[in-house]
Amino acid sequence: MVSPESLMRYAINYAIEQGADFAEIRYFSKSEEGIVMRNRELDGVFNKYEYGFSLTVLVDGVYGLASTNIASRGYVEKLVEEAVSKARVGAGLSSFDVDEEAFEPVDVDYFLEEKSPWDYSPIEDKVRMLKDIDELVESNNFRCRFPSRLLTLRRVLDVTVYMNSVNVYISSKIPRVSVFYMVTAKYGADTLQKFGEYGGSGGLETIWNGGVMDEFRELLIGMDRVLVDGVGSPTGRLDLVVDSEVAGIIAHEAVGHPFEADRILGREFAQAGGSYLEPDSIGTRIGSSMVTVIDDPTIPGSYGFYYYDDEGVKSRRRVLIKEGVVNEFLHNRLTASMLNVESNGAARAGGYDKEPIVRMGNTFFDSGDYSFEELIEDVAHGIYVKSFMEWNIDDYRINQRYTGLEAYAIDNGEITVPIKAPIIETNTFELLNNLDGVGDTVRFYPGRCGKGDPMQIVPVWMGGPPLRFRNIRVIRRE
Amino acid sequence: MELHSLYIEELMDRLMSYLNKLGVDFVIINGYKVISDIIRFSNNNLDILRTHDKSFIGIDIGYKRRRLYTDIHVMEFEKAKEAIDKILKAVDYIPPASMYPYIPEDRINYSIIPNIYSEDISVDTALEMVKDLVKYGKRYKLESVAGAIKINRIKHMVYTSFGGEGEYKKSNVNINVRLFKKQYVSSVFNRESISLKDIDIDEGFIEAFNLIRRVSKANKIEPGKYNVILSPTVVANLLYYLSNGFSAYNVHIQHSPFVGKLGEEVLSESISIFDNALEPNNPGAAPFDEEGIPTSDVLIIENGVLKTYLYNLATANLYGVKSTGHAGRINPRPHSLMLKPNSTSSFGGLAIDVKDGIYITNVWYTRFQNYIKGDFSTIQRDVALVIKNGELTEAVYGCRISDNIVRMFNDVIGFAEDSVWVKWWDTPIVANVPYMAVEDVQITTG
Repeated sequence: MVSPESLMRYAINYAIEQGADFAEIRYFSKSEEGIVMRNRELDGVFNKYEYGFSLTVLVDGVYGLASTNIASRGYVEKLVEEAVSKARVGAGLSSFDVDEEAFEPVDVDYFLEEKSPWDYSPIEDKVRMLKDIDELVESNNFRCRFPSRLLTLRRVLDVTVYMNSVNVYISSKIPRVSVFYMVTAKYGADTLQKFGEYGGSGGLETIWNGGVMDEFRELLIGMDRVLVDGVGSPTGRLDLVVDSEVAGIIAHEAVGHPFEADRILGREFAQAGGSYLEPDSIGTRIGSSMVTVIDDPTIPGSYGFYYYDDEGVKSRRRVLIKEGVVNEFLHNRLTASMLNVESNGAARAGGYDKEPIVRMGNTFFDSGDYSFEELIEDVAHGIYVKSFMEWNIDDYRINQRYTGLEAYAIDNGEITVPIKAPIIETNTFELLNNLDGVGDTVRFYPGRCGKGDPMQIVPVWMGGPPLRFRNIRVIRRE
Repeated sequence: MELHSLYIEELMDRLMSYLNKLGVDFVIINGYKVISDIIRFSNNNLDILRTHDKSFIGIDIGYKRRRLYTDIHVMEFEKAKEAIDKILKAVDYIPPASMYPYIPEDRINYSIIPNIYSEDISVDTALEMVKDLVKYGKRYKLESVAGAIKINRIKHMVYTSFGGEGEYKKSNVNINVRLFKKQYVSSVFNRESISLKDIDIDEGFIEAFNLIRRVSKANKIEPGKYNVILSPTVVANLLYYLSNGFSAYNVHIQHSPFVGKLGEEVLSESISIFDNALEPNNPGAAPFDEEGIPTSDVLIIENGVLKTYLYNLATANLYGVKSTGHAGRINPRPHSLMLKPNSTSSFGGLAIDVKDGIYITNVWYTRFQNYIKGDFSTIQRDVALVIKNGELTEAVYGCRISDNIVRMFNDVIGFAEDSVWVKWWDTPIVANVPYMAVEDVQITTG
């Protein structure tokens, strides 16, 4: 029986002995528990436990990675030998370097507290929580029916230990709780569907104190309104007010992803795609002075929370766009060294068997000073889109589309009738340059962001305040 | 924290015997050993070589009509037992499952599928392919050749309390390469196979390069309705999303356009769709599913008519039929998808049939507005070429297919060329598909 730390230290020393110029090793342990409820029936209760080691070595300018979940000294030796031999096979095909002087010695343990610990709550209480949420479909005299509801309550506890050959040791423990939902509303023959998630890091308080009941009730009321009373969306060039959920997806897709430096440098071209930015885009204006977009993994309680990234680099608030101007990219150690800057701690790995790549944490439009009423009152003819369903964006993060779920017409400064499925089909530059009003209250929504090959999923928050864009093209399905 | 490891077969044996003693209704244990090699490259350079060696176990337990699931990626009996004990405690506090598996009574025999494991999967060979790709990229002055080659060796074992016990070994090779000339002028080549020798990298490069060889710029598409030819990469992507609607679970929760449509003509009569998990050389082949139920050659769509949904034990029980061998916990899923058209022509012949339209080579971000209706959109990822009078001409960018997936698989103009096996990042189920042409596809742009 051995501790992960002693195996890890052994691996680092053995890698250096085998000729590695630099070595780092991560231990990831993930414990997951959850309940799946469908129309108030339980489809199952699940748990999942995994751990493993991921080793990176640099040998003569070539990176070799190896991972295993077999924890024995013999397997760890094999792990080191695999990583070193993989790097040697690629000799001459790359010439990477690690600046060891950039590492300060670090010895840190951090643990995110659960105010309402998952483990102290009996399973029957958790089943009751899901039932309470589900019973909302009956509680408001809805005119439509909700014939299909799928709810998954889940807690994921990530425990990580990082160490490298340059005297860095970090361990962390981050629990995350969420409720994932898929809901179908039906009125006559017409249907409306929505899926999404509520949650954050911490214990059960993240969903309960975070107002999951209010949010779900609000969602159902909105679906009922649109399905029963909704009229065809106006089309053409319209003023557009979006609420926080839509602001969040725009921040994530149109700003966060293209600011990942590995995309900008072409390293994700065959997987997650490219970017509209170039390595020398820092300082370029790409939006109105109202646009400030931030990625900050250090927000306590956030779904994308972490203090140190998976390369042992301390994270921080990153201002991606400052008052319309490109301010900084998201970096891991490699992309930072390629662009002669310091890593800002954006390296995240989706598990012990994944490599750390450049990822977002919590990405959002910064708040402004408009109240919601002020944003609306200055719109003569437009739409307000509170939530969305279908969306997509092109490979360079320019051409994008968001289809509204709960949406309303705005006429002469007032929100009027619900409208069905307005489609915002626009591009990043039009959106960012036509932003002329920013609300004063930021709200966040959780998401699971996919990137890399094989696919790596990491938890993130996306958010912002309500935003007003002028003169945006809106279409609808024929 | 203390760690202790033992090997997966030993762990599976001990867990099965532990669970049998507890008197559960049934238990299914799946064990996987996976060794993977991954080579990633971009900007005409090698980025990373990586290897994984992992073992994991999935346990499905039925106990007093409750469904309990445990996944153990920790090769320790005590840790696994702890997980099982914890989840079993839930039984007295949760209601019974309304959807519960039937227990198979027939003797279970598994087929032996030839040609699903190859020794021809060495990293050295794969690296030679990468070197060739990098060389071609430089020779043809491409700004970037980028991609990944992934090699998996998989051993899948299953033990069930109702008599199923089997194992098989398979290998998978996946290659995904993009050639980049300039913004909006790029092309893709992707294939899935059992071995490296089945992938002709020179042919793949030329196929992708020819798409952009003469393209120096792309013009923005004008929105409207177009006849389109979809490459196998696009067809595989759309077929994957369409196939979600075949799951009996998705039908039950109304996340399918095929609710109540069994026996009806739902797609073009020129289309048949199979999932033959027993076919040699099928990268998705498997003699049994995750409930230890033998697989077979399942005809899902025959000449446009929906013949069956995909069932696991619980959904089969719900609908009063037998499992089709498509578990999937909770939600059944295909092992592979094979689209067989009634007839095919050459690509040139199909372009002549289309006459005027667009050839779309790659899409991503396929997202649905409504799974019952099938309304969706997906956006162009690599070059698209205008078809004029049956000939490929200039390149366009910004194409977003904004249509209905069921309609698209109905209003088919035709198919071309032999089917190829495709799987990539945004298409997780391997599919064997040809080129497909569709009439009057709504294209929008942003």
